[in-house]
Amino acid sequence: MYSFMDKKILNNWLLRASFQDDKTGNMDDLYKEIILDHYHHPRNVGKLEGGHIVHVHLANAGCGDVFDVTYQVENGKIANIAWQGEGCAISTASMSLVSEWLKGKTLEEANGLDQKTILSLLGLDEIAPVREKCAFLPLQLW
Amino acid sequence: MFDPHMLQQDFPILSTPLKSGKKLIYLDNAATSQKPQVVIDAITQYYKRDNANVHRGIHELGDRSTRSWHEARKTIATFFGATPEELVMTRNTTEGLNMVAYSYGEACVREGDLILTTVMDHHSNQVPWQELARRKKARLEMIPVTREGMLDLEWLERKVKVEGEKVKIVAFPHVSNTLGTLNPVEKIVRLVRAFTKAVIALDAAQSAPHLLINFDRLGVDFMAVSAHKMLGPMGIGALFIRQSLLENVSPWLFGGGMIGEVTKERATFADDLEDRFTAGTPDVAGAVGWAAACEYLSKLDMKKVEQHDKELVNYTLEKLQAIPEVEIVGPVERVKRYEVRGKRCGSVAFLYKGVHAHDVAQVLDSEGVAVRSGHHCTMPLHAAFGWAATTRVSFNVYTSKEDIDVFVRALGKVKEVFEK
Ligand SMILES: Cc1ncc(COP(=O)(O)O)c(C=O)c1O
Repeated sequence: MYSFMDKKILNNWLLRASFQDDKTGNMDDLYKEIILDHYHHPRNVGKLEGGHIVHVHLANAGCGDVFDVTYQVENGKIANIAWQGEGCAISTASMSLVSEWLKGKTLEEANGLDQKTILSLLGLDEIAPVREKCAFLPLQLW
Repeated sequence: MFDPHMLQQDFPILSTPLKSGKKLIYLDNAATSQKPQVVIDAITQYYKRDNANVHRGIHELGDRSTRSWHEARKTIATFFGATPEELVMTRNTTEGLNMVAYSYGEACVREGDLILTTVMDHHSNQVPWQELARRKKARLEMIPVTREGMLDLEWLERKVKVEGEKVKIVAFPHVSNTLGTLNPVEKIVRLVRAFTKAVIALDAAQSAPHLLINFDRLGVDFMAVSAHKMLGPMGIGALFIRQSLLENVSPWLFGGGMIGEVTKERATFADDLEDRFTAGTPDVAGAVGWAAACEYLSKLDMKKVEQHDKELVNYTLEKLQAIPEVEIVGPVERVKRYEVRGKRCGSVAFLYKGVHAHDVAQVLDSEGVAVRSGHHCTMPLHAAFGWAATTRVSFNVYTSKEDIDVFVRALGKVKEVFEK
């Protein structure tokens, strides 16, 4: 029914939408110990008060996740950081892990926060496209 | 006999295996429905056999295509109890509502006028009005939602009494896509007509798949729908405009097809109302596919479709009420006394104690159950109730009670994963 060319085009389309791209949203991979731990016991929760505090509002419009992050810079380093808000397990764990990671970093180092860093903090190789916004919410910091 | 299991065989995607090997339980119908083979075939047939531009070519295919377009329009209009003149083809509900804002609203709303929408509306029935109000320096207010998840009609009554003819547009949803509330259209229309000269725009995106709708009998002035939520293809929808208003509604898209005569300076617009609102080449294949969907639903009988939905909604409410971690969203409190039954349609959304909606959805997905999580494009509603996000299951003709059972069982896994 299809000519050779048609088949090639068709296959390309099928591949694009299919499992080849196996960035799993696989649940067992996703809800690892570390993610569940940080979700149930998020670190650095709260709000810093006083002078020299930077405040950043992170929002994930698509999901309704919102985090308010405050951090304090001393001698070019992030001396302290706290955050509060509401999100899913992935965004919450990500925010919690990133807050630990940032503490003590110079601003320059902190600026190096990227998708790869977050994935490794979460203990994941990849994340499904639909959950990227959750995992990478802390990237809105800079 | 209405048998969802039989109907499932008409929808090829429902038997396409998931990568986990699990059977797909598709409960995200309020976002978009799946398509039966007849719809897919109608679209393919059109492109294989009839495709040509409409109203343009004097040749056999041009004739076939033009006939298909007109036939499809007639079928769709009839399905909704309207005349083909009253039907303007759009891309979707969103475009239809924007059209009301741009064509009618732009001409008739003045500084200081009042536009009413509702807190429970989808963003597509809020943002166009926010923007219109801003352009016109008009006021926009949203009819509040009661604790039970119903429109606050007492508020509306006070408002229309006080504001009277200042109210120019009243827009509301037939069925809320988050609360599932079925709003009393006739009652609202009576109230608005008693005290104002406002036009009434109805968002019927979520009622069209489940209820027998008669546009003329509903008594609204505008009604917007999307084909893709009612077994038809994506990318096509309609705005219905009451006959008596047609002469006063000016087109808002200009170009080929919709004109009478064009000179270098200006153009007159087509007298034929059908043409006047069809600027550019329409999506004929989409219309043909949608008409096939209407025929499929008519054959099932919309009264039975409605009954089927009601049973699924009540079954789901009962099952979910038995789970302590679940808090149902929308009209439910008096469901046991039957008072609220029939006031819901199409979907049930809920909160799961201690677990975010996205995580609920992810766990359900691992069991093959597809649901929607998030704010469902109703952020003001979520804000009003203080919900960050909700999980929603929604139904269509092929949804069975067994599907609900699988979903409820899968919910049990949420507890397992998150209580670790
Ligand atoms: C109540 C309601 N109105 C409008 C829309 C928008 O429909 P569409 O995206 O087809 O324009 C939706 C879709 O989710 C809806 O549920």
